Amino acid sequence: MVDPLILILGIIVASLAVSMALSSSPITSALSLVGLMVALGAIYGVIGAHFVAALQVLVYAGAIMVLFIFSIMLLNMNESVPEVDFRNAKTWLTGALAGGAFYALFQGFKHFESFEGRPSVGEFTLERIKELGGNLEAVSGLLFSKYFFQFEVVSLLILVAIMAALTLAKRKVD
Amino acid sequence: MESIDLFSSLWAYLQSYDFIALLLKLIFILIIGPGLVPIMVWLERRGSAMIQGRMGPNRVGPLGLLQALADVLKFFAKEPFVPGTANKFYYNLAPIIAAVAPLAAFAAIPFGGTVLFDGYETNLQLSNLNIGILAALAFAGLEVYPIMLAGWASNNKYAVLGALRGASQMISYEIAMGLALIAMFLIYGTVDMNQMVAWQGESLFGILPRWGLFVNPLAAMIFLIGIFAETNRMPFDLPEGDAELVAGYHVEYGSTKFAMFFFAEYVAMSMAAALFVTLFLGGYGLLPGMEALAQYLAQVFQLEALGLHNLKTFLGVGSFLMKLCFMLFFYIWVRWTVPRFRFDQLMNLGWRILLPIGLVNLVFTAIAIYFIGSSL
Repeated sequence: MVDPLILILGIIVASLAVSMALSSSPITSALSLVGLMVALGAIYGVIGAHFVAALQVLVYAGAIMVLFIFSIMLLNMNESVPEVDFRNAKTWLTGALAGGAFYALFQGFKHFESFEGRPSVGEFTLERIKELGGNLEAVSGLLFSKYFFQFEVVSLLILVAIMAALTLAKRKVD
Repeated sequence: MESIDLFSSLWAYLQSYDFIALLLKLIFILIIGPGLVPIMVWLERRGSAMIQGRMGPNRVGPLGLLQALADVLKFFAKEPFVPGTANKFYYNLAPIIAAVAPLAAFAAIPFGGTVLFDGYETNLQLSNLNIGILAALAFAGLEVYPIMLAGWASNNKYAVLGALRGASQMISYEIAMGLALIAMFLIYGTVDMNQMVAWQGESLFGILPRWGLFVNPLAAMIFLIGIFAETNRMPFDLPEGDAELVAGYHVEYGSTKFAMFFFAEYVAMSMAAALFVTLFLGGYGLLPGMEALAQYLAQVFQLEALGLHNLKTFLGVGSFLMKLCFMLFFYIWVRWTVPRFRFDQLMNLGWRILLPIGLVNLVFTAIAIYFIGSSL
């Protein structure tokens, strides 16, 4: 039995995703994505992953999407993009392909769940997290011990990305 | 059958202390959040008058106290006007988000210790999550959307300019504020606001309370400047800079919708002040001298350990409110003392001064903690 709250939030997430993909105005698309991030954060909160929920809202809705909307506003992208043409066979073909891919993915998950009797729940159950002292402690404990090297490599990658962006945006000095 | 079970369990829940405590806390949040707004508006008018040597509003009610009520009546009686060129949906959505986001952030801030009653113990905090302050910050981070939405949907160049200014200054100052916060997380060793308050409850060198403000004044300064920029208050109220932009992002708003922006601005101010109080001013920790007061009152009324605990919690809520009111007065004090910055000065301050100071402060804090530990 699915928690009714998760079901409602799931419907909200799905409809916002549809609105994001089908909307003809860029700002509606971007704002749908913001709403989607917040609703996704709410789902994480309901299942007890408070840290992920807060980060989802803080990072995606609070920072990244602000920049999206900022650039849409700054460039004044008011002209609407062409709407999705439902009479075109290509649209339906793409939709069917994407739907089939998702169906295969879900079947794969189902298969994996029963794969060699492996439990679908990982090491970090709600009890284990409570034992560690909370979500934040569990995540940071892993991040600074087991995945420390990977964590540092990722931060280096981000630094490289910043430098690349700076180089691209830099004005040429005559 | 199942539905009867559901109803009876719901009924049992409604009668439990859990529900009553939740309801009381909700009411308290609604009092210190939105309830402070009319008092703040009054204080702002009378305070500015006091600073500038004027009288201020003094006709409506004693000392002009009912002026805020008259303003609200005026807002609600006006015609709700939507400009013809505006994007109606987003135009109406913006003030709603503006009013909701800071209130949601309030839910995560503790305003008192624990209350013991009939074997039941509850935290004076609406939602006690173990991510603590991150929840408040997540909701506070959404405050930038109403400004951008209002500016964009109004379809007015002054509104768009105000919105762009608002969004860029909020993003810029969030970074310096985040660095100040990380330094404080290192010192407290937690993001749980109750534990932060407990940490600040000790005394420093035997004379000062061990508040974040005295332990790391640089972080406190950066955070304080940051909240002025985040709440668009003077001297950083450039999104509404009336000399250049008429009224900035809400120039096209009138009647109830303007009132909602106005209300949201003040709730956001009290929310930011409550965060500052919790992080740097000892939160609901007792003010110096209140411990003795509690002991004295306990002797006078012959309270037991339980009664003393609850009395201390009550005085803690009082301390929190006093600190909060001081911060709110501080906003007004600064507003009518410091003139507005220019926009390039604002950006310079945020990126070239506060950000490097914040980074250096973070590194020094980390080194200091490595060498002297948290034995401060």
